[in-house]
Amino acid sequence: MVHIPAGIGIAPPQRTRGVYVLGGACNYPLRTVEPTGVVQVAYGGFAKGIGKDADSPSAAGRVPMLGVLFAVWGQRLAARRLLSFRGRVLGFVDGRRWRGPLAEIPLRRHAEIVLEVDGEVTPHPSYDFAPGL
Amino acid sequence: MGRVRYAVALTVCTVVVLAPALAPATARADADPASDVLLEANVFYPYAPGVSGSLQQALNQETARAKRAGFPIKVALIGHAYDLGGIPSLFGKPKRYARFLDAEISFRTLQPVLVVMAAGLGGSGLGKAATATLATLPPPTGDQPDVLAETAIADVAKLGAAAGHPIGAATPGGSASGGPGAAVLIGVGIAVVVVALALITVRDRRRAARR
Repeated sequence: MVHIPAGIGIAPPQRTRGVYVLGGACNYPLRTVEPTGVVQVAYGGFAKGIGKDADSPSAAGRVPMLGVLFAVWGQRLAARRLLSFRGRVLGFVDGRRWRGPLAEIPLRRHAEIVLEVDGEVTPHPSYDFAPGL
Repeated sequence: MGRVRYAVALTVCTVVVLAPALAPATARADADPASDVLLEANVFYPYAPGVSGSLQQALNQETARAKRAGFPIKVALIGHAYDLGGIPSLFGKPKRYARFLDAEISFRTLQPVLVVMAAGLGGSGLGKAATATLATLPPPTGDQPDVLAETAIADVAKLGAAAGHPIGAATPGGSASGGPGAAVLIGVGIAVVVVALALITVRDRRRAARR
């Protein structure tokens, strides 16, 4: 497993409490505050070309894509490259295989996204989120 | 921090690349938040409602003292199914979750793990004596997060003692690093006295020489 760090999308200087990042100089609309892989999507909307239109055509209704998260994180995501690992990268959304470009996986509310390199690990189909998320 | 609209869970797995032959057919991607948090921290606290700040400080200090005593225990307080993320089915099953958690966070060394749920206690990697002691400990008296934390504070010391690593009593009002800090202050005080005595001695000798 790859540890997805807290603090993605939160500019330094960061305020931390233990392993949690409480805030920083500024925040991207995509961020992680804990090292668990839970990605928070904040109000603020995404510009055209960054997010895909969701149910609502307004900017606030745009759903960001996985490629945006990796861009903010500063890590590689491609068909045969995942961070520093090389191999066939498989994507799963809510337990089902994603057949399109990985960067275009939509970060919809409460989606459970699993990325594997040449993986045969059974992905979890769902995730119980804490209240308020 | 701006308002959160919603959250997404992302898991990245590369373990199969490293050792595909070792990956069990039934292996599942890591999806419980505690196994991620406990790689860096000693305690995983439930999300909401949370544990009060004073009890968090006390439990953090207790596990830090346990580590210094040679008993690096990791504690997971699980108050609700959503504290288990992708494996809510293990809620109410502390023994099974303790084994799962141990497999997630143990690498080359034995990793003592204590899981506290309202349903009871679970342990793994504790060693024979501490495991026997754990079996005698009562479950928490309630399901409130503070009760889970109080249970853990009391039980970490008992398990450490059983494992042959007695944990010293907390310093009242002191921090986890209060001991070493006090030792440094005492050392500085002794050094000041020695230097003062040396200066007095030199002064007396000079006076004696003038006479």
